[in-house]
Amino acid sequence: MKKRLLLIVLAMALLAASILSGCQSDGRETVVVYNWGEYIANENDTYTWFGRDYEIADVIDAFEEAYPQYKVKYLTYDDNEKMYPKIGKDVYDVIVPSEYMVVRLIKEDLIQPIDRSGMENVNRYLDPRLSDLPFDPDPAVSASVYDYAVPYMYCTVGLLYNRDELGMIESSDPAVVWDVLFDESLQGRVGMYSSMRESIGMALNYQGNSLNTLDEAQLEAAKQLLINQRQTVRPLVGIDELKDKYISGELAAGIAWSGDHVVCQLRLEEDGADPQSLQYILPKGSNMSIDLMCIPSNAANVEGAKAFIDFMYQPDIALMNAVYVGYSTPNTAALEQLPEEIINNQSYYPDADTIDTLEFYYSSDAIDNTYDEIWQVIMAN
Amino acid sequence: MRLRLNRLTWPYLAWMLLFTLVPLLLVAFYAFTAYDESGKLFFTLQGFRNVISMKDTVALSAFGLKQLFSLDLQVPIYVNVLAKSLEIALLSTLICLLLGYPAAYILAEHSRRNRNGNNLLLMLFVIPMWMNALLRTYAWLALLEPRGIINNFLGQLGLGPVQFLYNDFGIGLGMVYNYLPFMILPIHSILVKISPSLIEASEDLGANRMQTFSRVTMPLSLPGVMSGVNMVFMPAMTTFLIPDLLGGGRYLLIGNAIERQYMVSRDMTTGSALSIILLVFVLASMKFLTRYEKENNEGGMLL
Repeated sequence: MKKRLLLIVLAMALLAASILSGCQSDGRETVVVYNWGEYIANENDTYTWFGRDYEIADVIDAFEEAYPQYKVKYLTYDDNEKMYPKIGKDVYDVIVPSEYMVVRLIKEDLIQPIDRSGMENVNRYLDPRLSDLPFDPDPAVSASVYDYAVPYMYCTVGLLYNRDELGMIESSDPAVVWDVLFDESLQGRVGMYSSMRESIGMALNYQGNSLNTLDEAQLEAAKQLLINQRQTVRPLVGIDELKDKYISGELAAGIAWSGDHVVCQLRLEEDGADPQSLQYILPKGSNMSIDLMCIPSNAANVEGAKAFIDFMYQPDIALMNAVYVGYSTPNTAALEQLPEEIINNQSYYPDADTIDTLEFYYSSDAIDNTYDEIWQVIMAN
Repeated sequence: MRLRLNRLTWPYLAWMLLFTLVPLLLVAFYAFTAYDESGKLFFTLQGFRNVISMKDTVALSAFGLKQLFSLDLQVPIYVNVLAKSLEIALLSTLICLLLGYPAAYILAEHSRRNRNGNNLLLMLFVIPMWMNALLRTYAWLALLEPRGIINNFLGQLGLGPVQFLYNDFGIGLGMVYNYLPFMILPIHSILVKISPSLIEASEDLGANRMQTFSRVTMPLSLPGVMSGVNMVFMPAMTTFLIPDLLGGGRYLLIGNAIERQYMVSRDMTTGSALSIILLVFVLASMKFLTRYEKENNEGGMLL
């Protein structure tokens, strides 16, 4: 009887193995890409952006055409923290975490250095304004980030708001800008991200504190502020689903990544509405973040990963992604072809002086655990 | 009773072993262990301690304690989460029962009258279950949103937008809608099996329709009610999809709390401890219900 049980278990295991390995049957090598949701051009369409037409195509298809030896397996996530526990356990070839997560992955040896020789597009088009960024309190760590990672897109965290309802906000003082999110007359019509650093960071920035503080009094104040906001303003909490609600007018204002604002404007323009009715303002001292392409240490197809990363820097491809995603592109050739309104907007492409006031999110056990605990309490209220 | 092991039972045993027992043991293992800084595994009760830690407390808000009775009882956040989940699950189960029992009764009457006829009515309750629960829940979003289809319609009639979503009502509606068939089906299948001769006997003995129902039909259908209650209460207690979507991210129920511990905080120990506590809760409620069912069966048979 025991033998029979063993046989059945073995047969089941074999069956599972044969199903899992089925994907390599056509002779092409697989490149497993693990990226944010809605973060790559994936449809054939024409986008009109401030009156200019841009042709969009499926970038994954284009890659498979340019490199017939590779086949892309494309997976998505919606939060750095959801992606992180899978790195090192599951096998991916390209991942696109935010910079604080990149720093942690480097420290934990979960991603490998990228040899940039032969990556011609990356070497030619990477925007110099992104060099020497303070990714980490330790300058040596900051300097090492680009050895392991290549920028994919960057963006800022600011206030997205309905101009027709709230009027233009000219100030870039965080105490003025974020004040909108605590306005009780907007009850139920404010959007917040379900991402902890953005939410707690906004509260800290509003009260004039660093986004990376470990000062207990400052954190307690931010926590109380957010709990109070949850109870009096009753904001809607989500990620991707919020965009539809800004467009429909259900939400009047909310915390947003600059890219989400661009997507909202594009959709408004598509609907024949005035794209400028939804405005975005970047307060001083707010957050800038960069998502960077990395190759995990346990990647199965490093050459394929490098080909994919370099392909993302081909100007026409980078342009499609920039238009589709709406985040700021680190590709100089693609940037030149974007609408004037975008290139000159300090909220999207901040100059060096503006970048100086912005902060990246730092990640350490102390910061992570403290912020996580605070967030848990906020969520439970 | 001795379990006789037929060779046909082996695949099922293997299945249960692999996909029920092993995962359960893993969860229990994680709940009591953690890694120290050098990566060594050690036994700990920290997970359970985190759950009942008084470090961060909130006022107990479930069952209207805070709003209705303005009671300010500070409890650990997870106690409140569990109480809130219990409140919503119990309410949903109660509403499902109040809606489901008459529906099952009418359906059973209907199928008894058309012995060889079709079960179209029953089909209508089952058909929505052929669709993915996520899609059905998204459909409710589109219907109930402040600028959704129903509010647009109300707007045409000059009625102000009604806040259906992101509150107890929205979550309760989602639960009742999703789980109602699980209440109706078991009750219905018991009701159709009640022999008409019992009803006739009761009428012959002079009982009116109300008495027949309360003394014969209802007691005999209790096992169906119990399994219906179980099948609604358990998923309602553990779901995280419905509060996530229809609660607008404002609700932290026990299902969301566990998902968050695993996926965001990466705290397997606390996540597993929460899972174990939830499991004990659900097991206790099952135990309670099955005991009641047995007692009742004995009584029922005496009829």
